[in-house]
Amino acid sequence: MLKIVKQYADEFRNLDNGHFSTEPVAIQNIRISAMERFTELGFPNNKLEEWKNTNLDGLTKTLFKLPSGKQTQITPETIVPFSIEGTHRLVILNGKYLPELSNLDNLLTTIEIKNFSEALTDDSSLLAPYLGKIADYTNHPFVALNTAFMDDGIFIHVPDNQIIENPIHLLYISSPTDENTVFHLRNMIIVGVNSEITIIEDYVGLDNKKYFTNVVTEMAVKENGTIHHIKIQQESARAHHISTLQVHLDSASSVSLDSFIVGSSMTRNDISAILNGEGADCKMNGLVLAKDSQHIDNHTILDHAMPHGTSSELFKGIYTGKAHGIFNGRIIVRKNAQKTDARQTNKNLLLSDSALVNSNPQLEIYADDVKCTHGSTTGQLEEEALFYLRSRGLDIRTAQALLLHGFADQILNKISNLAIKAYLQSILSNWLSGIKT
Amino acid sequence: MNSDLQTIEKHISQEYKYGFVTDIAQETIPAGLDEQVVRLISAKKNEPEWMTRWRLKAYRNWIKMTEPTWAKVKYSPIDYQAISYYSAPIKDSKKLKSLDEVDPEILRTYEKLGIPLEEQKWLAGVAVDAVFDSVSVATTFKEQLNKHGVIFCPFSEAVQKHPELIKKYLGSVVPYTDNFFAALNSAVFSDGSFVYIPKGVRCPMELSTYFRINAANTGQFERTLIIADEGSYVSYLEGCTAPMRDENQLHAAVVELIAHKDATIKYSTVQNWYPGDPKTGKGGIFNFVTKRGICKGDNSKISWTQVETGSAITWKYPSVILKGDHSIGEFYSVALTNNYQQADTGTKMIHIGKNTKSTIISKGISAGYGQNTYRGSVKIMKGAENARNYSQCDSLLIGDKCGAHTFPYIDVRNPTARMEHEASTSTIGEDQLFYSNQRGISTEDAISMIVNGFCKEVFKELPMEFAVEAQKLMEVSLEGSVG
Repeated sequence: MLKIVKQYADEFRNLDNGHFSTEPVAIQNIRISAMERFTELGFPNNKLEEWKNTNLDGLTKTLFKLPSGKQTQITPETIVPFSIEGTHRLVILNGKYLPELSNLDNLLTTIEIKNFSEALTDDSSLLAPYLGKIADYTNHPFVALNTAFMDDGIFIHVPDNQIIENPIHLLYISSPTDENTVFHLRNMIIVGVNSEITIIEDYVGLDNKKYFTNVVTEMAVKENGTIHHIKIQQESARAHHISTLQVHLDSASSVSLDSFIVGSSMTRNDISAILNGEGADCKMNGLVLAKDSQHIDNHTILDHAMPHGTSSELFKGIYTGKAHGIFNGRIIVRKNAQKTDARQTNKNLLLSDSALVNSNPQLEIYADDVKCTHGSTTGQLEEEALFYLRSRGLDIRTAQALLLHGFADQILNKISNLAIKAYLQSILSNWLSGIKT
Repeated sequence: MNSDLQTIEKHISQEYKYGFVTDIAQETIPAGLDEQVVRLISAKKNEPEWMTRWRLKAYRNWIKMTEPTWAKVKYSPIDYQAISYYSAPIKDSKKLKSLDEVDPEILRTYEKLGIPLEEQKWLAGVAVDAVFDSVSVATTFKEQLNKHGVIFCPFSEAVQKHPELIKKYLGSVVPYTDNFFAALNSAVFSDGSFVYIPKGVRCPMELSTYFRINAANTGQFERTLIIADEGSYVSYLEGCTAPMRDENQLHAAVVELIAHKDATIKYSTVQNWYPGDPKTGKGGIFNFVTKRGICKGDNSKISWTQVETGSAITWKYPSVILKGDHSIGEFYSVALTNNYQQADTGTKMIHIGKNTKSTIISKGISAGYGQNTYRGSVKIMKGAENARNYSQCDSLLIGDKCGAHTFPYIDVRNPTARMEHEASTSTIGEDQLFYSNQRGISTEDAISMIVNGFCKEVFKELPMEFAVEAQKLMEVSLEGSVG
């Protein structure tokens, strides 16, 4: 066992004897078995196909400590730049729910929403069928580590036949008091029959400390339910962000998963959706904006397990500086999943000589009556398009900016809520004005 | 069809003369592999010291390697110590006495492919008193090749006659450290072909293993080396469409191509080895091949075309290293898996030089319980300004028990590169079949028509006579795949 893995195991043992012992036994057992699994698996290395292009030295050479008891003070003004009009907001500061900055309004009358650590004890019967079952900790070391240490986050349960109009904005702010802090965040979202909800998971870093966010989000949507899930990752420049998002779709349900990634020094983003019921639909879109020596690794899986499912995926990335981008998208169509229609596209723009992209779109198909396609392109801005704009009097910078905006807008336009779209537009414009083209 | 081929055709379809002596019976080395065996193989072939040393280095490297497991194929482990690494040509006593003893299924296939009776015997391994008069066939084309200075001979002959070329190029594209099977091949390779095309020569005919003398017993570890010197052109054909009887289950071949400045190599393969029992999948050939070419000089071009319909397991990635500026790499492939066949095949295009171009067209067809995987990699290195790649990988599924998988790896390190990859997986539409039936075309014929249309882009890259056979082959291989 590596020294670092042992250190995590020791730390776990200390907590298990103290802090965790107040939790229901079932939860404690999950933690223990996840920790056992983590010590067996250890940290992944480049020899594993799934981690081939991602160097984890930055994460595995330092022991990241759990947040100290001291909490950073933030004022309502701090979060003004991150507010989205017309949304309910829940703030999680340094891995702990902060009720005073959250506004739930009248939400609690229709749905159940609370911080995760509380739900672990109060709603363990509601959690039990899903916890650790959607996000499998037996194969993924970081999910195992998270499951062992899972602390706070948000638990949302929408009962049947409820349509929640206003999006819920989960704002995770990291501003740790100490260097090398780790946040094992855990979220769970269960949406009942015929219900609908929009959720924004927004990760924000406030200062330039080095920290590690290890988040696992489990979602399940029942028959004919709908989830719009938007993930925004704008961590600070030295942060490591490892995220696992797993969704189970029942029949005729519909899920859209949109990712916007601009922050962190290293990101590994695992998104996977299992279409477990007939006629489910999943849309997955992503936009990566990476510069300097950012390393952004996206792994997506669309697993069609039942017939008549549809899925479409569009992942785009703009890479400049020495950024390294990875797109690994897999479509699986299982034996039963006849009449599946799955499409996947990955488009990458390289703006500098030192940027690098690995694109691995994959199809794994075991049923015959299906339509599956994938496409991948990598290149730079079209000379002809630039020439066209310049011949109409635009200077080169404006022309480039316009084309880049256009490239990114294809993803932003998939968001129907105007306030969220405007919020993302400002992130995009900020980023574009900060790069040299 | 050119006149040379007509000559050959005439010769192989004529009555065969009696009295050809095949007195080359030799003992078989007991199963197992160690340094002694490697030395023995080398000694049997009367190889020079440097060749023996090279084999030994490869062997020592091989024992340190482990068998790769990343391919999407399943098979029970191979016991490398249970294989005999040097066996003499099958003795007559082991051979079947007449065509009556041959599996009628195979005979039916021969008939469908239109293979002459005597040739059928040869392919099925039936003892024939009359052997092909290959000498006369060979002489006709040998003279012509000599005139142009083209060297085309068995690999073992080249080791004796052209050691300077072998020393310079052997292992220069596929080093013995490359992978498990390439290392094994380097240690124990039996024989193969050697081709050298001198500067500025356009090889006057399509070179084919099929017509090379003694090609019948190249054994299970074949080694091919083709060198096209500046400004030359060669088209090389490997294999044949008829199913071959073979005693060896494991085949690990290595093919190395070297294209110098302005040279072009076109390499076409039709592989139709025994795929195993259609009901259980037992006994088929394992075909683990390493094929790689290097476009060494500027403006050079290497083009791979393959039609893979045989073998129980195919594990094969013909690749091109595009080193020279403006060089071109091409890969055209049709891979068909029926019954219990498994194929994990694709290509690697490594762009190093400026303005290099590569095209990948891959067509996978799965039927029965077949599992067909396209696995390809396109790498654009930092210095490869304006590199261009176009890949298209289409899969066709027939039946609901087969699988088709596409795993492309695309790595781009240069912003001026333009990469496009497209893949699709679909089935033959009920409407397409209905349309055909309505017009009086039977379902079988309609499927064959649709499949051939699906493969057309690749077939058109094959030399004419191969293309016609390949189409027939698809029909035969797909037989019974519709319920």
